Amino acid sequence: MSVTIPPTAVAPSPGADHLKKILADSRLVVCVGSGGVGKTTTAAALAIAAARTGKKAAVLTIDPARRLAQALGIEKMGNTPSPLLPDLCAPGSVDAMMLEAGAALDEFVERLVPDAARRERLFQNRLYQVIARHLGGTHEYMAVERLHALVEESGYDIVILDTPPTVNALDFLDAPNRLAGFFSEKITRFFVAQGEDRKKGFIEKLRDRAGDLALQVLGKALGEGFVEELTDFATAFQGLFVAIHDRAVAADKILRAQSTSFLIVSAADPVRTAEAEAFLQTLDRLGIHPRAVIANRVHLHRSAAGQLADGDVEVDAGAVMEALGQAGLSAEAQAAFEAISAGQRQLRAVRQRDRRGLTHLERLIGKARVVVVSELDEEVKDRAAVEHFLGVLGLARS
Amino acid sequence: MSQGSAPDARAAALAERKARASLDEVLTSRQMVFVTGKGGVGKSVVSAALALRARSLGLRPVLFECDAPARLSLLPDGKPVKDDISEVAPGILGINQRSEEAIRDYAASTLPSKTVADLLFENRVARTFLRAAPSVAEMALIGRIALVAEQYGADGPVIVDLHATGHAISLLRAPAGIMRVLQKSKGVLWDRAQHIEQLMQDPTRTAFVTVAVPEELPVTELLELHEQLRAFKAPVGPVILNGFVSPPTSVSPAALQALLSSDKTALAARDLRFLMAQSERCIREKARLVDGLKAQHGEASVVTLPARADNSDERLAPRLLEALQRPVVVPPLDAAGGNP
Repeated sequence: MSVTIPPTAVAPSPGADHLKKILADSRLVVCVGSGGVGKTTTAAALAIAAARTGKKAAVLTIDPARRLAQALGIEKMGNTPSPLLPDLCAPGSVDAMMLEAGAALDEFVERLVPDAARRERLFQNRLYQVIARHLGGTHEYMAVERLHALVEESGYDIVILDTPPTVNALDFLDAPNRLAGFFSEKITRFFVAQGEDRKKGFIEKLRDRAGDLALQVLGKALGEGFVEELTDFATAFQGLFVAIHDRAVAADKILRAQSTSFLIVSAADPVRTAEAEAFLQTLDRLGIHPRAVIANRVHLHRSAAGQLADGDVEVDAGAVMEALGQAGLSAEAQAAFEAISAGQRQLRAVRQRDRRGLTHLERLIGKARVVVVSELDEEVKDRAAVEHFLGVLGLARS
Repeated sequence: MSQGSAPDARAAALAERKARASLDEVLTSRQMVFVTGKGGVGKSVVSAALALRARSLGLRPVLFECDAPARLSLLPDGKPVKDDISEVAPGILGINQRSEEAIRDYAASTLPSKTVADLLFENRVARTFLRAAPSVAEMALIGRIALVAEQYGADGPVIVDLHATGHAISLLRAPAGIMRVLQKSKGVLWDRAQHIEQLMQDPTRTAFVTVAVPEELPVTELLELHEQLRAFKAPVGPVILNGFVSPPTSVSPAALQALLSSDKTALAARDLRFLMAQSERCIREKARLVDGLKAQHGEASVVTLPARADNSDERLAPRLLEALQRPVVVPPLDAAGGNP
């Protein structure tokens, strides 16, 4: 026989009102956090929460590992928006998107290079191909570009951004600066002939500067063929450099805007809470102050009214006897009582650990800014996980 | 709940024993052991446990972290892993490689002299290019790992705690990418890239140990990762399945239903059901992992480690080591044959 599980009561978390306020007043919400804490599901649930208050929302993942589609049960998701089920989101809507770096770069170049022949030459360039498809780093660059377009041009009320775990998330935050640095005016002038130098290419200039030992070494170490390839790339990108630089600066502005909010997603175990603390410190150094912490997958039990509670669940042998007696299963009572007690023992260590972790998170940012989401025994991809999160915010559908 | 038949249990125990022997073989014979998997599966703790295991096998391992956040040591009697190579626990070396430093080190080791490298870095254009070009950081990191392996690999494996799946793959693709860009004229960097690519594909010197937890997305991602590793001709070691929840004492479905329906026992019954569901999920996902690996490789080598709940970080890795060294009990043949 299959077991029917009565629905769990979930009382809104202390930080629920605070988080709803963030969703109400933000145009961009950036979720950062370590791997395995349910960040992608959280980002999707936040978008759905915003939609349930009537907003037109988008959720974007820049993780190269393709998780969001699976998490949301969408068959195929890519650069173009896939709408989530309307009954999940009404009265608003949610579009989900994943960033495919190669396609995103092509799309970007198509927008910026109207001339088809010139564009084709660029697509054929080996350096471009390698950068677009084969090497790391471009995800972050192109995510910033995509973000800029989404927030500024696409007509969404709110964009929720899911970032890759730890190290790469911080790369992402730094990407606009690095991109702006790479395509800075000085670099641009170095590669691209301008003014009276217009006739001179990179190679000539390199020869002109024969006295510059460092440049000779660069050419030698990388191989002269590479230098030519670079020149081709730079020539093809002529005019794009300034545009890319400007967009990178604009994207950095978006990340730092008043209407942008950062959230830290964590679990409650000691490794994750330590990482959450490290995140707060690093963001602080970048001048970014996260507004809330979402504590996911917390193993605390809920009272019958749905409030989080500490300690074990009390069960006496008499109550077990009574429940099984009414069902005509008295013979199983002793074994069932032992199983229930053993279960509580098995959960005790992890509950104590998570209580400590939660206290740590509350100390970091204040209790009223921590939203607590329970660990569920269902897979995180399940709609149940999203509904539970919405219940924690007081936005569940009955 | 599917406990499996006795012959199945015997086969599973034998497979577990074989996988552990294969893990020991990898730690003993390879210079570079890359540990990778989806974020959050416990790669760092598993890497630390592998270093402890290598030490107990009489080796002197190097724990190689990549841009790791500042944190307490995961090793007992351990010191935090520093940016330079140093002893981080008795008999275990460690290094936390910063990518910025890797670029500089790598250039210095590739170029004819340190003076030339310094000159290169003093040139703003060259420096910016090296830092910002999307391939160079990855190539430099791989290059640095190879150098450490050349230097210390004879005494024990360099255990590399890599980033999440997607970025591990971009790291592994870097040499091929560099070689593709440089194919017109083969400079020093081309040679180095080729050397590193060969090193990473050499089954006598390198192994990739992948880590997953028994959940749907991590297992799916691990199977995808294995396909990519195979496409890359990377030598694959055993899979480590971390966080396996042992089955609770179970009750009949009818009793569970009765307990869930009574107000006085509902909460505790819910907890019991939670544990039963977790355990079922672990068994199901492990089966999916084993089937998937068999479909790809013809065989599945999976080392299973239990879920752990500890209050302090430094106890996690020793707990995993303990589990790794606990003998696998193989049910005797007689019992298997005699069971209904």
